[in-house]
Amino acid sequence: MRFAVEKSELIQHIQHLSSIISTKAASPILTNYLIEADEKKGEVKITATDLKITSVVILNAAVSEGGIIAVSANYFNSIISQMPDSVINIWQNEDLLMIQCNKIDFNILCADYTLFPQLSLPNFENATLVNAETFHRMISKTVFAVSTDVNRPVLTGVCWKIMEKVNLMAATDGRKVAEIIVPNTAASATESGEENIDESIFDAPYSEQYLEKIIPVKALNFLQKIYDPAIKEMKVIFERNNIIFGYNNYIVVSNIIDHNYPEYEKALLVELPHRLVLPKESLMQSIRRVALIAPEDSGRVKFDVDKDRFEISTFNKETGEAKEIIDKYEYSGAVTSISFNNKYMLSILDAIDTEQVLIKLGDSKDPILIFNEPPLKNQKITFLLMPLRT
Amino acid sequence: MKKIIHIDMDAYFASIEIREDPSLKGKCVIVGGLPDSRGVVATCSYEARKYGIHSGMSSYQAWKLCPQAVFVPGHFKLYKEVSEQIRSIFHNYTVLVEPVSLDEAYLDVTENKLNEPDAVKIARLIKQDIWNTTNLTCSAGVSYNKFLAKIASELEKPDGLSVITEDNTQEILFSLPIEKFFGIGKVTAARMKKMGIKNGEDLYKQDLSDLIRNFGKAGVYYYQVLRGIDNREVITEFEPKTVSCENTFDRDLDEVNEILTELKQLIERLINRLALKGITAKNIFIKIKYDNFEVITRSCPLPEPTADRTILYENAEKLLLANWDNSRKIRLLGVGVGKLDSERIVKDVQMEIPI
Repeated sequence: MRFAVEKSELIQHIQHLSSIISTKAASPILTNYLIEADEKKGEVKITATDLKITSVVILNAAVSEGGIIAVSANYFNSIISQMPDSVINIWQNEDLLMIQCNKIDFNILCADYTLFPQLSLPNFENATLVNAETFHRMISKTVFAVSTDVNRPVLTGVCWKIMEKVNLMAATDGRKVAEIIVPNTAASATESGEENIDESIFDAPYSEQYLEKIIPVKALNFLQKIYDPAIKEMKVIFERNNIIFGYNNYIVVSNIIDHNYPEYEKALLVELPHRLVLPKESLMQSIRRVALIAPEDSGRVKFDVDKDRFEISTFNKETGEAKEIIDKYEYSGAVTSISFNNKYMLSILDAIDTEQVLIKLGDSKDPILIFNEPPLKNQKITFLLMPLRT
Repeated sequence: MKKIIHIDMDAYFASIEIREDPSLKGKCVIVGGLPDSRGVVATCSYEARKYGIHSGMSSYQAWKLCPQAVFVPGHFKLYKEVSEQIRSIFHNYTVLVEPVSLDEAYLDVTENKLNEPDAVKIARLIKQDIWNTTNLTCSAGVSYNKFLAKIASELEKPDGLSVITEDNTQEILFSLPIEKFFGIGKVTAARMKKMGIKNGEDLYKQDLSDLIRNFGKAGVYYYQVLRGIDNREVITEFEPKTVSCENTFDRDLDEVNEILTELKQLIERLINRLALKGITAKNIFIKIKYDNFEVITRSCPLPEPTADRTILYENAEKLLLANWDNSRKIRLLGVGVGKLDSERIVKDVQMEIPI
């Protein structure tokens, strides 16, 4: 194997790939990249896997001799990143990988590539075409709400549903819910009487059967990393146990979480009588400020809202109290008080697109609903936050 | 027989203000709110007391009684620091110290660090130590229980030292006007006077059963203290018995919605304080001060030990609406809870959707 490639071309891709490598790898071979060079195509393929998610990146390179090796991902990454901005020559010499750039030479011991899990490249011919920009956006509105609780694996992924006219992504850890619904195609958006057509997810009407897939958060985070606004097309293949994405020069194969997603929707149907509208940025600032001394375990911050008074406060047995009176807000409803974890609230507000935010409140034990204000035309985005009972 | 000393600082806040600003010496000094502020007198110098001014009186009223008085806003941080100094003096003599307030404490010197059997001698040493350290005077009462020690400290104010022994207990209590008895307020004193009870001797002559019929549980207390019986210990670990908040309004209120809004805010403050202490309560009370300064307090039990906003508010609202004479304006509203339980720590519970 022998090829030459620009450092800048190589480095950005292997930096992404490195996030696939698990620090607690099940087997030593999984700490390696599989590097394959194809002389005829002038391509180099680099593969990383943790068995649940596998990603392949395909680079154009000057390949003078084909071949295949496995090499420590950690060393390969750090050596490449420390090289000068120039052409890097990489070739195999028996069980050593030679990495040479200008007057710098590394000879790295290789691993046994035959131990590396085999991945046959998928055929994207019949893949579903997805608008990558919309897909990226749907992930960013939901992925923060997934659970980290390994005892409830079903909640550690984002639920992606494809229905007749709309696409939905939702995530919840029981304490917060994030849901985004977008029209399937420009046509289905128009049918519903809306004009904006850019926010749909498919180019052609979706004709396959209804689908519900729970995608692990690691795969979604990886897709977010490799997203490039210039590249709008993403290919998706749904298999029984896997979901396969083809995007740019990447192939990502991820397991899916084989469960029925819990019925979180009922929680969103709650009727809340009070409406609070105010600028999002300054609200986030105020919450962050007051929360400086909030209890670490619960993160408790409290809203006391009335028509002529809105106070954000916290108190902490260990540190003290803090409060801020908010002047700029609109409120219709009765006086109410509600406590919540400030980190959850901030993660939701972060996902709000509009300058203003609408917060629907009930009494201290009711959930809180958070929306864009005004709502977006074609995308329905709903956030729910459960309060702290004190 | 125990040996108890009661120490009461003389016109404490005012004396500290005079110490800090000697030009105030000899003047009527009033620590508290300014006369135009709806504030009250926290304490005043002995010169001011001659005009009938006393703590708790409105500053405006005090100003009318003595227009030449000097009003000083309180410097509570300083008062607290001085109290710390005084408390550390007490602890040189005994570990059994019960601070009642910043300017008042009981000491049990039955056993003491000097192994000094004479409590009067200890009281004299403490007075001297306080003077040397703080340049302030206090009055000390020495006796064999808390009730009598407190009576004794009142006998020779300021800068006094009095002793009540078993031998002179009756003599002193009999001649004492009943309003001077600790635990007998203005209202009870007025009732007693109507019944012909003017001093300790009159009270002593009452039957226990009559006292109980007229004064309930307090009757038993009167009966016992007149006979020199008071078994209360000097309590070093002070646990609050109630937690409360109150607010004097900028203007007197008689509109029910305004008053309920104020009540809601008081409840919020109360809940914060309960949560800060991590306690629950089994009893709630409200305090209403009408525009003529008449005060009523009413309480009711709570269904369960709680610090829950809704339960506290509902009960406070019930109490308020049932007891407020709505033909009268309210100057001050207070709400508090009692029968506290610190074992039941209030914890935040993150609620979850049912999935």
